[in-house]
Amino acid sequence: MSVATEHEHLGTGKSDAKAGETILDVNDLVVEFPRPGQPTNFRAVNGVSFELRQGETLGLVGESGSGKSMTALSLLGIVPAPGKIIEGSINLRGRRIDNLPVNELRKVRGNDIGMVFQDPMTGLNPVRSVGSQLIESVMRHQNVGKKEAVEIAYHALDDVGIPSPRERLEAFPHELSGGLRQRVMIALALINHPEVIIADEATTALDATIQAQILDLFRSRLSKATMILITHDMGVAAEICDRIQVMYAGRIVESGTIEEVLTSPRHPYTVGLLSAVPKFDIRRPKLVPIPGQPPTAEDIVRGCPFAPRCRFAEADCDNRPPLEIQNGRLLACWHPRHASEQ
Amino acid sequence: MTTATAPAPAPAFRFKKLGTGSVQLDLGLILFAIVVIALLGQWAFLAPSDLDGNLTSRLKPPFFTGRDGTFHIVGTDQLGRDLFFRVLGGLPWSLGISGVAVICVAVIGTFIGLIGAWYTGIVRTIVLLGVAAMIAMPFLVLALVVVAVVGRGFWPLSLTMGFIAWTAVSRVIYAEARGLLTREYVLAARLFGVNKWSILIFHILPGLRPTILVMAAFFFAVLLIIESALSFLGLGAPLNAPSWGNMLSDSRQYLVNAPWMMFVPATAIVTAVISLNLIGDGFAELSRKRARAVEV
Amino acid sequence: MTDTTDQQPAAAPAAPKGGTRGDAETIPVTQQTMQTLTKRVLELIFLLFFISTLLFFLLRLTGDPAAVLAGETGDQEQLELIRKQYGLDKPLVVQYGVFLYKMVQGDFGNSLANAQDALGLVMERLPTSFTLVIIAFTANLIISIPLGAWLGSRPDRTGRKLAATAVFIAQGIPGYITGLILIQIFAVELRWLPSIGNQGPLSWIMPAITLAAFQAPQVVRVISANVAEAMREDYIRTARANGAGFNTLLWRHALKNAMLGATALIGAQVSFLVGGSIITEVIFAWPGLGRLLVTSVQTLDFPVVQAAVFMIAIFVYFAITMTDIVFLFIDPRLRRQRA
Repeated sequence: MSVATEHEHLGTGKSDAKAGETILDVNDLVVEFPRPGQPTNFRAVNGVSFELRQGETLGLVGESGSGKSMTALSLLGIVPAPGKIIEGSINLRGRRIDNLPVNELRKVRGNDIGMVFQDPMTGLNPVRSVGSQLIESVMRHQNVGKKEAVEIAYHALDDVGIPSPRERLEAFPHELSGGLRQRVMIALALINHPEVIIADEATTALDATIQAQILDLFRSRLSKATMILITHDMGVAAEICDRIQVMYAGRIVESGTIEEVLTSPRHPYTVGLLSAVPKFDIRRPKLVPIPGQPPTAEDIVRGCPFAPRCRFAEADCDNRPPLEIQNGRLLACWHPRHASEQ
Repeated sequence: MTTATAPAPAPAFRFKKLGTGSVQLDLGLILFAIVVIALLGQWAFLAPSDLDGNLTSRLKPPFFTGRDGTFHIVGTDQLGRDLFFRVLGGLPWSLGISGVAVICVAVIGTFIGLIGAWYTGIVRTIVLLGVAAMIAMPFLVLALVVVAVVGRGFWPLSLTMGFIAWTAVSRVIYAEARGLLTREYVLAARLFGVNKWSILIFHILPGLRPTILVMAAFFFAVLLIIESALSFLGLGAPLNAPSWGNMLSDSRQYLVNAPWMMFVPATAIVTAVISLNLIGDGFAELSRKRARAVEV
Repeated sequence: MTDTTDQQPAAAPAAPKGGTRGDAETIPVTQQTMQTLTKRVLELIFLLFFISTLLFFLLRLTGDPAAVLAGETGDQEQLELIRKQYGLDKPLVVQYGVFLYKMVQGDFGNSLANAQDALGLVMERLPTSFTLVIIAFTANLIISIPLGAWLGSRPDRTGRKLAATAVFIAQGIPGYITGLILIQIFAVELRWLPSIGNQGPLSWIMPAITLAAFQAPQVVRVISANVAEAMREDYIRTARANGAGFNTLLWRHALKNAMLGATALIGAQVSFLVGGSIITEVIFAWPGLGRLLVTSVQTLDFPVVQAAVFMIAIFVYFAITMTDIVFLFIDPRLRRQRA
């Protein structure tokens, strides 16, 4: 197959799956970290389940420490030590990938699932040229020679809107601006045409204008891609995602389409997140911060983890609410809000 | 940073409970305490005559009891002198010389480093050029040449080493002080018109203390090695002084017949150096922990 | 590097326009090399000036240089002769000027011991000593870098912890003790290796190991700490997420960063090794510059001492400058710095 046709496919996956088909299926995922000096482990991810369908963009939204990044890292099997996946399963197109041996898992990483990380300043190796890092990944996963790999790398840079990509292949990360570096990171994630793309706070570390450009790139280049977008910013999620899952303390607390969640959030935490987003709208009440802090690794949580910060908490919140469909919305709350009560 | 591994609160440089919070530091301090006790103890227990030789018990191995009933726990040297007592007698020489030298190194190194960091222009250029040039010169070569002229003995040796070895310290202090000088509290002090020496002494110096402690511990070890090397080359402590380097030097002729003559002072040097390195490592670890705790 | 203003691909949506902030002008390698050279030559001149001044005044402050130069056997007549010969009867400033003028010309005078040209004596000994230093330097890096990388790659593993402890203890053993122990084992007990002098390849083994042992543990520890730090960096996670295996991560991603963090240490090795070579040469009765220096210092043969110190300074500077330039070519951040 020729390189030119190939790069038009960039980011749309290897296989010709039909829209709506389930690509990624995560069941009851639990990731634990040992707590030094304590008998119980800290559950960074606590029973997360979701499905990702062909061509959709799923937003994982939550504060830092809510377990959204850990969920993403566990999909690739790169949870930092001493953390571990201890329960659950991850299926990619029906193939279980969470219990693969390392050799097999490495073929998934960057090849079937590509990941864009938060900080483009530190995410690229400072002493190796941009090209060598792209080519290394191409030659690892695609059966091509050096020359062809260079061409693939060239097209990948071109495709994410990097000007004069030929020269940029020789450039070192410090010679590029933050926006260009993040484009390189995206090119690196897309270069082997993964079926699933994970973008972990891909725009957070960037200046506002650059952030808008990168979001533009996502919209134009990856609108048909199967993608998980991780962000703490409801605004970013609203711009790109088809579906949103809100995470809190390692659990999914609310899940729905973008319209559902934005227009009628049910979980008090989602309500809080939305009222903390600045809007150019004078009719809206002022920004309302969510009081308190999310539970940390030291806290042992019983009942609803959000209850201590929740205005609507009652006695029954001492029991953990199950994640279940309530009025057509997947929700974990004893006292869900309704549009009228906000 | 995951919240999963929140750091423990940082221990201070103080004996709050038993131990300092760093295994290395504890171990090093214990070893070093033994050395210091030996150093102090010798004035109480070591008679000058203990250092004299007895030619009838020359080159005797460890656990030898002489005809006069004296027990030599680690053997004797070529003049029949008890090696254990000689190692003890060498303490003031080996540790004393390097101890005085390390104080000079810390004081001069800090001073020059601060000067370089505070001034700009020609003063800084000269300081940096001079330090870079001096650092490149093998320390032992310089010390050798200077000691040859100024002569042997405790003070010439310790001061020579102190006045030559400060360069590496001043380079580190310079770099750190430059960092500290850009801090806002220093800028504020400058804007209020605080005298430069007050700023350096009350605002910069406390921030440098962990670095100075770490470097002092490592340099103590380095200087101890150099002092022994100079004595080993016959250019350090006076020839009849029981310095550890002298003892090593003596042992070279008797490696075949009396290897213990080499192993006894070697053990003393290695123990002292390792304990000082442990202390340095421990200080470094504590200040790292502290810095991390401040960050979080 | 060219700027970004040329060829804006039509396919690029919302591409950053014009020179973005990272794409600054960069300094070419040749220019940086020249800068490094100039800086090092300046330092060397400063150092040589400092050493000669130090020696000049030390000799005069601590007594009659004529007496020192004449040695212990000098009588009154000889002293007068020496004063005339060395211009010691002239004013101090004149003496200093003459002294510096001769230094610049490389005229160190004749050895007091055997009236041979001091510089000639030194140059004769130079090759053996510096070969030893270079062998030890190379051996040191060949052993220390992989060992350090291995130790730093997974510092929590038990085997590595034990090895790290051994390296720590080794760091506490001065090179001259290593040398004596080596002699005790391989020359005295086993009689495998000659312990004295330069008698062919076998006799190089122990001196080279001894000299390398002076600094190897320190290099191992620094490389290991740097590797451990590099392995926690974000770019390692990126590479892992792209399917890189442990060996790729360690050798192709982390090690180079770790090495570049140890540039100054590796440059300084030469200086330490030259210092260590003096003791090594004395221990193994090696016919090199170090032993010449020690003998000359002991006999106060100052022309030779000066010549030796000068040549050592020049050699060390040569080696440090070479290291600088090598790293200049390896490190992209140094090679093309932002203007």
